[in-house]
Amino acid sequence: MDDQQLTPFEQRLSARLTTYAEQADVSVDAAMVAHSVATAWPRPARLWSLQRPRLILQFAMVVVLLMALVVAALLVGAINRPNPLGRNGLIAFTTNGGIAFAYPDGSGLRILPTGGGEAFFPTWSPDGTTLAYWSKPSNLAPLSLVVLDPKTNATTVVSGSLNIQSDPALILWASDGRHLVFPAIIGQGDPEVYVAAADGSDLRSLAPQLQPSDPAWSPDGTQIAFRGRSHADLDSVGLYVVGVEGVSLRLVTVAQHTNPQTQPWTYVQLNWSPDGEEIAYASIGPFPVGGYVIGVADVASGATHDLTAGDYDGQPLWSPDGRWVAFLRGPVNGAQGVGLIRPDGSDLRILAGAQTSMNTISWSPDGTSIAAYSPDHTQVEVIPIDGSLPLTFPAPGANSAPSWQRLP
Amino acid sequence: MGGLIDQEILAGVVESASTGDEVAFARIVAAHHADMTRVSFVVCGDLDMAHEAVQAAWPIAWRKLRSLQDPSRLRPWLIAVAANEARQLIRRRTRRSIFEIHVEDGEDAQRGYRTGGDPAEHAAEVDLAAALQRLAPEERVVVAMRYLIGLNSSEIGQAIGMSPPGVRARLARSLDRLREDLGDG
Repeated sequence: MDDQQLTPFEQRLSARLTTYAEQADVSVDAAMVAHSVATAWPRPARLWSLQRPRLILQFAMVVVLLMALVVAALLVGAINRPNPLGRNGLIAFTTNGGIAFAYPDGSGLRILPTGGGEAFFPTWSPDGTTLAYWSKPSNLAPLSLVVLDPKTNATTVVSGSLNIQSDPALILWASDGRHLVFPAIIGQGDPEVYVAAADGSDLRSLAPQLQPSDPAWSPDGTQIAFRGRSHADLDSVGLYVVGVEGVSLRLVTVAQHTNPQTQPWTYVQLNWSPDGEEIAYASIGPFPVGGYVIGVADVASGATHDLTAGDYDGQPLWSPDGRWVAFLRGPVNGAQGVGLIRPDGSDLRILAGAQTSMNTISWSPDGTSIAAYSPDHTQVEVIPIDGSLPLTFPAPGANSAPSWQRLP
Repeated sequence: MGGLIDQEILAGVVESASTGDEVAFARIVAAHHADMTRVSFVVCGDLDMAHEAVQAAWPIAWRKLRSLQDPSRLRPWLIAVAANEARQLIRRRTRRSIFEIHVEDGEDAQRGYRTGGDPAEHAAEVDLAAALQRLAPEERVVVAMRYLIGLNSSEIGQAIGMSPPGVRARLARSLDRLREDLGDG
């Protein structure tokens, strides 16, 4: 009996067995199987050996002691070092069959099934109590914007009956946590930007005459920046600011394009600085040099300057303290990663080991790490900005972008 | 089959699943459920029992995954867990003296039984099924692990608690009987 080589009879037997066993092939929903097993057996193997009461008592005492130490440390920390940035909570991300939540080390995983269909861009509210996401029940169904209370699983559709046919895009909460802004294309129409209250009321389109896209809230929640262009001058693309009520529209800066190929990629992926003075954006570089650059526009004067130079850069995101602009670089020569740069264009860094996908990233509320997806969308990467190696944990079927919960 | 879960990240997935990570466990289910079902089917010769065996195998895997010392042995281990559940199902059914004779009917396609197709191929499958049923369940386990899944005698031995020479001897006996029953060779 040779393990390496099969005799002709063994080869025939192997082929017949394979054909015979194909009868048993039935597709299963692995996430549902895993969920039902994990639900039925909620305690993993690690705790199953603690059978004896004495050990359980000792374990409980250690837990109580540790909790007391943690509470004491938190109290001391709160008194001596108030943290204006917020604490890191759960990372929300999408996975097969639902929206998942996990701590940054991958522990505490919990999945909320979304009842079939797909979910995209789970986005925590600023106070970390509710979550907005795009829901697409089937391939043919329009997108709906849903607000979820993770504690009760109660959901509210805030996009009303809009027939949203565009691809899911970034959802942005106002700083008060009561309003959202999102881009949408209704049916076969032009790009639009909608504002809605989180309770499903007050749904309205902002500056539709400018075909707006890529919205961004001002940090004080009173204004929305967007990319727009007018029917009158389709060759110009502008960065606009408008009051949240739709008044006080103002053009911050404008770019003229003679090449229609470059126009769709000017002033996209807007992100407002925490101090409200600047807006970061991605743009295609000067034609014919090309390349995608990260730029910054001064909101008051309209002056712009590029932070990066002609690489394949996108998705700028200010750090919570405003000291960095993070962005995604690549794929250049097959490599891609997360970059950091100061708002004045200095101190460019490409973070070690970050081979993330080109989807939006999320800063940790304390400004020390960045969450992103792996290029194959099977893992969440937690990337420290100090250059140490990322932590990863599995997220099969992940799409769009993760979102990091801010705790007070 | 190899590559459904990259070997480089397999250890991390197993470690995460063994500490209660449901998403990691779902990856393992997705990668191995089909093989476990096929082996269980060969062992018990009945689709419903095969699915029942695999359903029973997953909670065992979830609870005992932490005992798996070497993540590279995950696949043989899972196959063995499912095959063992299939054997126990057969034993329980036999003990209760309940025998079900499968008669092809109109609902078979819906339930997953093969219908239609090449009559010669169908007859060959019937012959193979009958020949397998004449083997002991333990013999069907090693035959399925070797010739359906492609494990070697060391991997099979580690998974079912036998020495590699013991596995090879059992395989040789099983092959002799199959060759005779199938009129091959």
